[in-house]
Amino acid sequence: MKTRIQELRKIHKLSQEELAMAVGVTRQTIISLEREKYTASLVLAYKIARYFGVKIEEVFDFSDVEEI
Amino acid sequence: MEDYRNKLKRGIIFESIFAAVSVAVIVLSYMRASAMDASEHAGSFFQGFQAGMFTVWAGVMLYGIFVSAKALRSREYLRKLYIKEHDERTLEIYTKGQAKAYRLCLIAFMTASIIAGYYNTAVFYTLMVVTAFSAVCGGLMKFIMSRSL
Repeated sequence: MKTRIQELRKIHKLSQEELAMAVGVTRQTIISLEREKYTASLVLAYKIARYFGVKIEEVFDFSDVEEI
Repeated sequence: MEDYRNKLKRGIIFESIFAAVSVAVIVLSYMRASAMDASEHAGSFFQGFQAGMFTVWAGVMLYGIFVSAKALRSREYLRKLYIKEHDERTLEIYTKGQAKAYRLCLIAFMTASIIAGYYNTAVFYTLMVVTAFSAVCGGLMKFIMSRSL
């Protein structure tokens, strides 16, 4: 899933480690999110969006989500 | 975080007990050789194997005690340890990896028991019991988890 985490992180001048500690995950998880290799859970997505002060839809791109 | 702190305290107690038991087994293994086989080589092999295994086990327990004690002294380290243990991606890796490993092991045990059946009855029955026990445990866990989630 595409995300704007890296873009938002740079706007707020945050390192991956700082963001990881702030939302309660490891740095590896942030790296995987930014590389679009891992899809965050609802709780983590909410924590990240809340930390940046934006809506979830502004952080995560749901346009590629498959309709079954 | 307070629950996690209490969990670490309980962990230190259990790890201390297991470390003490490991040391006792190591001492006993040197005092008394295994009576598994009449040959001297087999007895000393099992003696060494047990001593080595429990030495590693005692070392792992002591490391766990050290890490837990450090976390209890420092709030920052406690938070880092908590995040490391509860990271959702790490937990998902463990879950998916272990599920695949479990299936692979069942297939391997079944195959090994079939092959062993041509050579040694004791090994065949041992592997069959292990396979059956693993399958029952897996089925039971699946049932319990499907009821709780």
